[in-house]
Amino acid sequence: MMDAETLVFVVDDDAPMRESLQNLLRSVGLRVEVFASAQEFLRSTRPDVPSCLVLDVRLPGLSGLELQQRLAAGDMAMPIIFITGHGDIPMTVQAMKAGAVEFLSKPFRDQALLDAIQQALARDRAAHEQRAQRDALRRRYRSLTPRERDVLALVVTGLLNKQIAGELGTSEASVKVHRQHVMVKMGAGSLAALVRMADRLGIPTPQV
Amino acid sequence: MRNLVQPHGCTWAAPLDRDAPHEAAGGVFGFALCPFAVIAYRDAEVTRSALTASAYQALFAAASQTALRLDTFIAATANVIGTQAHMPPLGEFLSLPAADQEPAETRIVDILQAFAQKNPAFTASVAVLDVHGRIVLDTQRANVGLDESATDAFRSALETGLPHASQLEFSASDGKPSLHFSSVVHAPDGRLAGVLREQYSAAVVQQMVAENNRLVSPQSFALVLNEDGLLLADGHLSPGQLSDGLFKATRPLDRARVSALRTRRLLPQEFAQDIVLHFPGLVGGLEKAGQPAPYFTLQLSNNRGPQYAAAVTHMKTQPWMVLFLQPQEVFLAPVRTQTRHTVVLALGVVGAVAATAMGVAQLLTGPIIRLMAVARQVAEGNFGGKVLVRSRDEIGALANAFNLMTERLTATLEGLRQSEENYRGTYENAFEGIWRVSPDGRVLSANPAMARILGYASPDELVASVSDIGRQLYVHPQESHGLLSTYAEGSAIVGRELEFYRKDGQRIWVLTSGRPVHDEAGHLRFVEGFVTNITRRKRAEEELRRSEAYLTEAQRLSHTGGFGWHVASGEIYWSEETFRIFAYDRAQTPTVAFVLQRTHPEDRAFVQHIIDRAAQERKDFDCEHRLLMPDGSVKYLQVVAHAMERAASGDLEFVGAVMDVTERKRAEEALQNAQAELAHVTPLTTLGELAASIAHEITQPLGAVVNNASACVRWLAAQNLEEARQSALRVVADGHRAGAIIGRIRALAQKAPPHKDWLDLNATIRDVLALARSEVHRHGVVVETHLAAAVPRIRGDRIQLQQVLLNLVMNAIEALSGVRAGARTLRVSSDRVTATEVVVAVCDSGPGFEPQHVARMFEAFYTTKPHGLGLGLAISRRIIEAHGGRLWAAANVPQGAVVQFTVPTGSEGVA
Repeated sequence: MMDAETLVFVVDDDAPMRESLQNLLRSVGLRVEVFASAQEFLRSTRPDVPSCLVLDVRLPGLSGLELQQRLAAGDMAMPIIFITGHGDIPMTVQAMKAGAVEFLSKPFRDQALLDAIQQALARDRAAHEQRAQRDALRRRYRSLTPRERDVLALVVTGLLNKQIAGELGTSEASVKVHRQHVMVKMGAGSLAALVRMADRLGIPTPQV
Repeated sequence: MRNLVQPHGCTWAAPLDRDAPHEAAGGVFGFALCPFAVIAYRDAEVTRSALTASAYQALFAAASQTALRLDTFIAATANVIGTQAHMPPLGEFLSLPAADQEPAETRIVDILQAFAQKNPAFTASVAVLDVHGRIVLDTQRANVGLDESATDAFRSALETGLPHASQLEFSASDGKPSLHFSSVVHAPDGRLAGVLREQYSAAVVQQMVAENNRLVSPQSFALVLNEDGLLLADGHLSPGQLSDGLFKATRPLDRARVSALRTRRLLPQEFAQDIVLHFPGLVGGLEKAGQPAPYFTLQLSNNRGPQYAAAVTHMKTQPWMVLFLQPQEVFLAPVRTQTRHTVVLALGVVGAVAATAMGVAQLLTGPIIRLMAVARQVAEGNFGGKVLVRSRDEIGALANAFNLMTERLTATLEGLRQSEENYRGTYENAFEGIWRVSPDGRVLSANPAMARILGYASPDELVASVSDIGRQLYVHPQESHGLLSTYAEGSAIVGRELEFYRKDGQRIWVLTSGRPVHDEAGHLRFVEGFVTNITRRKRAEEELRRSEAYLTEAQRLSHTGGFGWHVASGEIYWSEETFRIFAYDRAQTPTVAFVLQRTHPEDRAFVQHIIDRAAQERKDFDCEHRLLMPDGSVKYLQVVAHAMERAASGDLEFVGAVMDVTERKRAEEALQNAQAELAHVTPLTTLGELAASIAHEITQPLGAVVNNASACVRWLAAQNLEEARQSALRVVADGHRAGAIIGRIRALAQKAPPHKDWLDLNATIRDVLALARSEVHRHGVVVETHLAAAVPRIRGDRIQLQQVLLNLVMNAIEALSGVRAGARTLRVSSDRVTATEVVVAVCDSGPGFEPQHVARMFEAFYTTKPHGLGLGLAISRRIIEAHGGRLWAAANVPQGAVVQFTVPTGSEGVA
């Protein structure tokens, strides 16, 4: 029911609980990796595929909420589903504020967990895709020469070739050539597409 | 009295400060200078008028020479152009019809160029004009075709037929200031054919004027003005230059005149009325010039500038004036030199005269000055000086009389000083403060001790600062009024204690005595007072009174009475509180029999024994016994006594305290009962606190059951029977786990009567850690266990020992919540220390114990926790002691606390 290119991480210090979760998730065809502590999870190498984390709030050593903060601070954020034996309201609020997908009290309905996992994976898949696109765009931008980047920055502000040449102190003909290279290297079919790319790269463009 | 030593008498010595001989010399000096000044002034005047006359003549000669040079130039130039105009080619050319002129133009231009070459530096252009005034040819090609018919040059030449020299005017063609020379040209047939016109730059005039500048002196120069007072040339300016200074008016011009001058091109077009050079003296000087002589003085700038001498003359060819100027200071310089010489000479002569006068005066006044100097010393209180005058005249006699007088004075003064010193020594060094106070409360004088007592740096400061002792010094000012009225009646006061303020505001007690001093009329002049500081004595008295009061109060509050017992006499002293404790009337005299009478009949023999032994052994004693009060109630007493020997007689005496400890006894009994009760209550309370945590324990296996069961259902649906079976097995295991947890809780909660059993301490420890697991995790604590394998079984109550362990573990966890996460370690160990003892230790890495808490931590109701009951450790120790063991606390290494207990091993041996 789900593609193989996803992964669910489970962190719970209670071995029977951990194993039961693994069992449950495997039974619906999800790939699962389990860890007994937050440190163990942080030490592991995780493949770069859409994934989510099922996390017990109370853990020996680093707690679940601390792990959530640690991941967010380290730019390793992924959707998190918290599970707990006795969650209280402040703890729930803190976790949800920090971006948790769901907060489940043990024992929970299996469908509730599975729904939350599906939602989390969908969210991460989208984020993953967006990240990949942005990386590709950045890669293309890095392939530009410094002069081509200058030209790009001026083209997207709507200047004519002549004005750009004046701005950069060069000839109109050479601006034309640079501009052509920029369009090809960035894979932009039109000026509008180039402006959108620049916007996503954080290069200032005129705001309509 | 001090005034006698340093009389104030310096005022009459003041006139001596003026020095008569110097004054006289100054007068002579000043007076002698007057004739010299008159002579010098006269001399200078004569020289000045001679020099001025000679300078004027020189200036007039120079002005005339300059005017002649300009006249010569203009006349000569006009003559030349007249000759040039007669050259036939010019007439022929101009008489040709216009159409035929062109071939001849080149030749004519060459001729005109040749004319211009005669004076190339200043010739601006040379041109031929036709009879209508139009320029036909010009060395300046641009001018060809211009119409000059309106110019003076053209019209005058035509009208007179003679060579003409124009005014210095602004050229019609190029607008520059120029001189125009013109002359008519005749055709070969004699009729008028046109005009030859030459234009010279005005600089030619400037050049000639500048060249003549130095005719009189290096600073002299010439100015040229026209009849309207316009400045045409200025020798100040560099030769040949036409600068802004030219063509400005040296006198005001009205608007009509300006406009007329402008029409005639004699003024620049941009000429403004305000461009008027202000040469003070010029206008008046010019008006006066020639009546009788053409000389005057003027300034070239506003009044502060130097004065110039000037001479003026008029030119013949032009209506111009030539002025020749020279700064007066140049030709008057010899006057200054002469004056300087005169002054130096005068000063020399007068100085010599004054010095001679002073010498003579010194000779005459010397002895008098010496006499005055010694008199001044005497006035300042120094009687040692002698006047050394040997002359036999009146001055000599005066000096001898003076010396005699100073010797007498010295002798008298010495006697006075001796007597004064005697009294002063007493006054200054007394420990008592001595002062005089006026009837209105001012301090008139005081000795150093007085100042010291009142906290002032010196008697002077005290006298200066205190103007009303009643207000400033007395703590109770009305006392001051009382004392004063006593003094006013003529009575002395002896030994009155008063409270004073010191300078720093501190209050002191003083003992004061005083006597009034009246004048002849019987009025109170002042009070002479003697003051001693008795603050320390007063304080000691106060202190004693206070400590007595405290003691009585303390005895009352602490139910402690004091007593003294003189054994030999049987005399007994009781404090108030002791009377109260024994419930005897204070009026009675206490005795030993008295004490025994109140003592509880059961304790009477014991008390008698103690008393006898104390008297015999002469040693301290303390005992506890009861009193049976008249109302039938029982009091518990604690008696402590200290044996002392009287220093004089060696008699034995006991001093001691009687403490009513009835209430404490009652409280102890109540506490013992309460603790016995609480020993059962506390485990349940602890359990209540733990209930929430234990709920978590059960949810874990329950959650696992649910998950595994859900998985099982799905595996079954997927026909994966092996996985389904595994899931079902897990459900079974989780169910058992939940059951075990519930069993443990039930065992803890049972209020079973204590019954001892053979039990495994390590298993008990593990059970307790399992119970506390949730708390351990909640606080992020890392648990280590070091359980010795060879721990023998012990005989004890499992539930009670679990309770003790749980208590210690929970305490440790709580202590750890005070330290940083990650450093929270709890270690539980068991070990066999001796053949008959097992020790269990609970260590934590928390902040440890505060020293002041260690001593009391095992007391019931002693707690450092905000919500604690303070029973845990007390009950734990009671339980362990009931098992024949010990429980104690110590500091852990490197940090934290360790609480451990021992229990004896049973005889059963290792299990």
